[in-house]
Amino acid sequence: VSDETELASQVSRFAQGITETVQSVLGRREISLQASVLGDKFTISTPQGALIVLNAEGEPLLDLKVRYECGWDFPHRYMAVNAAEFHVLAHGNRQPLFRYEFVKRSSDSVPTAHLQIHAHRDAFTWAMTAAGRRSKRAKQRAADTLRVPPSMEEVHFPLGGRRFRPALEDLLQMLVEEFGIEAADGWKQRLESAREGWRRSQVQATIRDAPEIAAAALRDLGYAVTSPAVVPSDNLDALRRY
Amino acid sequence: LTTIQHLSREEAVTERGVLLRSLLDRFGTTDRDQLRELSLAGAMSDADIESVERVRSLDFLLGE
Repeated sequence: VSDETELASQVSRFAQGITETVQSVLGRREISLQASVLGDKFTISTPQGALIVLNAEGEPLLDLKVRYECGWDFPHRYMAVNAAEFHVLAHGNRQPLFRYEFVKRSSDSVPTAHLQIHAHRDAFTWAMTAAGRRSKRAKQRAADTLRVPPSMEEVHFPLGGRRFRPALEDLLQMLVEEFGIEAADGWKQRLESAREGWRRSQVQATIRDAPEIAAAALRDLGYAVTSPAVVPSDNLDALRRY
Repeated sequence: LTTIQHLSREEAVTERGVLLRSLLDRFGTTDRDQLRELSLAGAMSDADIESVERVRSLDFLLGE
């Protein structure tokens, strides 16, 4: 199988996986993403002019914009994400409320994975006031909002769990929990399953970043692991980069 | 579910050129950082924001 054929198949699987997660969590089959492929690189994003509209209590509340840049990981065996962006906007606004971004080759002064909060106070407070009641936490917020105006510090931004950078699944869960956006029954289980898949792939990538450490950890657990004649180098860039 | 568009290098270069000429006309620059800043500040139309995003994607696909 040629690199290009294999990449095309991985593009398709990756894009379908993201699309299916978003569709099944939000319960809306019409949501789609678009991929562009050139040689050994591809991008996946929300289609032009069609951000993902997130509803609360039957009304549009937020817009979600998703974008990935992908290619081959060295040595052309695994698909790798070079950049990922998840932007959340108050519905109809052009400036994000906040955005999660990951840039593998970021400059030295910008962290590889980061959260940027634009958060004009008015827009953020409006979104919190108009939030739905899909989760227990969102219901409580809605009840509290009748007594006191919501404030930004009440929002918990996910930062990737115990070991990873934030994934789209974390953001979607946060939007249900904090903003009460409408989600299909079983949304949490779907997100957990998708998140598990993503984190398992991250474990594999981490092992490739430092294979001898992985081998030593496995030996500690009782596995018999033999190092190859030529031990692969550690990925110092991944281990050291900001 | 997902639309997959296969681009040749020539198609990507041509599309990017058209978008950049249009952005240069309206914003006086093709500097990617400046265009992105304007886009994130909400200081562009939806169509221009999409053009900036598309240029970024084409830059990546073209390896630039």
